[in-house]
Amino acid sequence: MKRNNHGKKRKNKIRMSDVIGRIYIVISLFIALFPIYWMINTSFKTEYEIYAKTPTLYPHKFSLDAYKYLLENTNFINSMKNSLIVAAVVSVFSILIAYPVAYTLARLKFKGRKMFSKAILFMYLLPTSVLYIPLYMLLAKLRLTNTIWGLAVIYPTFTLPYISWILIPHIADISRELEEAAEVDGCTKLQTMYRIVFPLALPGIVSTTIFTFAMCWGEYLYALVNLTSLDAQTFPVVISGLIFGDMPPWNQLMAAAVLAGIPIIIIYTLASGTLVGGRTAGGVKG
Amino acid sequence: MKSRETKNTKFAYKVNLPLIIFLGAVLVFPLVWGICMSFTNKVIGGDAQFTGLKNYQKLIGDPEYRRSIVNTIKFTALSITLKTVLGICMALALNQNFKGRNAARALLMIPWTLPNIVVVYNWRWIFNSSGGIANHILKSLHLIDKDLVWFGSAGLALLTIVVANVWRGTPFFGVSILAKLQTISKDYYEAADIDGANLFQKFRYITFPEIKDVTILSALMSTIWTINEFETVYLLTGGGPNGATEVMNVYSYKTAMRSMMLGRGIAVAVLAMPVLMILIGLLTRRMLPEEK
Repeated sequence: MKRNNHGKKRKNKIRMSDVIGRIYIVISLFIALFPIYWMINTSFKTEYEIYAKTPTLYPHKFSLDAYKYLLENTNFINSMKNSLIVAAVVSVFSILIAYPVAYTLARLKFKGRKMFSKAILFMYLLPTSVLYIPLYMLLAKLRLTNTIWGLAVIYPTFTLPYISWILIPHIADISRELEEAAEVDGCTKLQTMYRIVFPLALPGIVSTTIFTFAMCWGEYLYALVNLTSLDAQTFPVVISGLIFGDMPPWNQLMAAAVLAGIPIIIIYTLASGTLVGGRTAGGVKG
Repeated sequence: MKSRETKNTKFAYKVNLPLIIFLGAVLVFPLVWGICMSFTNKVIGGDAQFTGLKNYQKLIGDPEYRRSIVNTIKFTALSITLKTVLGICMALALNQNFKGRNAARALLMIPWTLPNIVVVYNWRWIFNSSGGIANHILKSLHLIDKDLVWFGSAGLALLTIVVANVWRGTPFFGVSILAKLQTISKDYYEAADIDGANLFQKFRYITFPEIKDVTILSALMSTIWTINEFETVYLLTGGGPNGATEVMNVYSYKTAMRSMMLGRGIAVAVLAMPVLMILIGLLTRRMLPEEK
């Protein structure tokens, strides 16, 4: 009898932990998604409606004015183009230069390896706020402030260490057998690295590239410090420039946030569904 | 064997040369140059003259700087505590088997994937005193009866930057800890069930020891990022009201870019270096454990 009671109690407890878990998930989902819904909702409202006494849960008068104004009367499209160019150029450049580093750190024993991997980790953990003034002085000396190429020169300071570090476990997980076979067949180290291991590491490389792209896409501090001319500004600088006065055009700001945020959400979701996103996502600076 | 390692070494440095040269020129050189400049009176557009420790003396004597350090500590301590607790809860909840688990996981990751600037403006609008939804929700729940001016008082302004930072940062803890949770064998829990362990005991004696390392790792990394947070504060409160939320890097930005004192701005970062080095040292030891 006593035993039975005990068993019953245990069952109840398990069920309770499940219930608490489910409730927690629902609340978390609400907290995670409501602000995003609110952003989308606001972007489709008229200026009149956003300052209504009682906020409306959906746009009563559906309006594309905010988007229209943003695209026609501000520098937003040009800034998206700038962001896209910088992020794409830096991502491709960084993968090309950092892949061999990750490969050698994951696979080869060589003199100074420990020092080298420590240095990479150190640079990966070094926050941008330590470097922004020295890098501003560097770009000023090179006369590269106010161009997106200046950003393309300094963004690799965080993308290169990030890729070198994050790719190591992706490469280390690949079985060595193929490489050994290739070596027996007379492949050089360089051929093995690019022809054998690179394709096998591709899922990890693709997801790492996506995260690298996203890091550059949303970068604010370096862009703020180095870009003052409208032509060269990336979208975070343009968005922050939309705020002035006591009644900022929140529908336009939210429209800009939607246009800048939704592509990234889509890419991430695709990447985390099909690729090994979890591990790579964990390492993004932020 | 010996020749093989020599060959490896030669190969490794040959293919790593582009990265070494690039980061040497664009990261290491500017960093060293910057540290040297912190001992000068370098201003934007001006020449640098050696002034010894003057920048550091001025900083330590400046009450605004000292307050920014206190603000940074408050902000970081609060944010990291919340992110750790909420991240563990998120991981535990996601570790249960239920329909739509993968979808829930992907959706809960979204805040982490958004560009920070998008997140910050989103919260600035939510907390806006006129038209903001935060006040409306709190009023409907009868928690407040008058609109709060979120960015107008020190405590509430600190709360807004913590909320924005925690909202975006929690999924990082969640997925990191979840990855570790999924490696714990179910056998342990079954054995504990047979022994009649309760939920808390199972967490305390099985789950917690397993996730301790990854939680500390996540917290250390997040601490580095949070201490150095700039845009969340700069774009949400601007450091206001009256400097009540001005953190270290907002102070550094204002000093270097508004007052144009580059040397002194770098000195702010240099003064934070010891703390940063300790954190990086702790992390390095944890992240490179297998090295002999």
